[in-house]
Amino acid sequence: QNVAFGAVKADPSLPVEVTSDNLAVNQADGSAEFTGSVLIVQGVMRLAGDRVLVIYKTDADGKRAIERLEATGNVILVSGPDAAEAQRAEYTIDSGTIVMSGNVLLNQSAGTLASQRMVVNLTTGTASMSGRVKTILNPSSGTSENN
Amino acid sequence: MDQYSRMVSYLKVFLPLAALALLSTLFLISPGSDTEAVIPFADREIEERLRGQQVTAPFFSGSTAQGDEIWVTAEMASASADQPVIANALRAEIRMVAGGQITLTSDRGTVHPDQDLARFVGNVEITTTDGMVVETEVLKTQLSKVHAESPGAIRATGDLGDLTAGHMEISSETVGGPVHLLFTNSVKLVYAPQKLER
Repeated sequence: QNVAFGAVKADPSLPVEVTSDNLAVNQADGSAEFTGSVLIVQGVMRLAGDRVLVIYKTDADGKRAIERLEATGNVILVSGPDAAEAQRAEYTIDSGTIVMSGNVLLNQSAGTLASQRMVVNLTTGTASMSGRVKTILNPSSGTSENN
Repeated sequence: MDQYSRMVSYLKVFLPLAALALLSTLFLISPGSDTEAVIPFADREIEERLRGQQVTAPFFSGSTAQGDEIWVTAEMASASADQPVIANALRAEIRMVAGGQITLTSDRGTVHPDQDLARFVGNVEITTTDGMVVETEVLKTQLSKVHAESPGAIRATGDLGDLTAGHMEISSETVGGPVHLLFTNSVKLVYAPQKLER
């Protein structure tokens, strides 16, 4: 089930801004975890969650960069007019894809879709849902969206 | 007395006299050594040193119960009766048993051994194991265990990106557990992903 997501094509190289109440950086393995109403903002995309864990990757020349951000706990993703909720979301920055899992609810002007898993590709502005997709159409919107 | 023994008796007298003469030249003719060597200290410095006890390049090291080692060195530390030890160009290193190392440097600092506390003041810089550099104005560290706290706002840069927070604490939640840097009070991080190689 492919659906358009987000009005504008997001650019993954925009700076990512993360705000939260607190952040713990573990000195032994260098992992970092944001807790307390965490909000990730990049361009028009906003991803909110209770906790966000930062996963690093080490490039060839040994320089560490953020590979992906794992948000857990009533995650809400908003991009342009569309919004999605889930329990977990993994945002891989370089590829600009967000994998949301755990009773995902995507509500758009056309209707709301519910499923177990959704992969949003910010660069192409598309989202593909899988796993028991359920569509609820708002008759008032007039545009009928069939599976 | 034959000629040989007369010569010996003469020598018995003449040789000690010659030795005596040689010895005397050692003291009479040698150049006088100047005794008043000039001490290279200005008077003002001497008074300053006399006013309070002063230690140059003091070195303080201790280890916590879990075995983390703490080194504190400074350029100069001076102590006076009522005030705590004041040191400048302070530098501290904490080597953790669980791996990793934190270095702290600051312009000035005071050490209060009775309250088990050292205060770093004046552009304090903290470098952590993963290369993150945290800058703040004041940092209080405990001397007996790995616990430091910066009451004021901090700025940090590192692999994570540029970070600002209202308060920072370095401590290990579980005893002997890994040391954490806890940033609280409105944390804000800006991470610029490297330009993707097209």
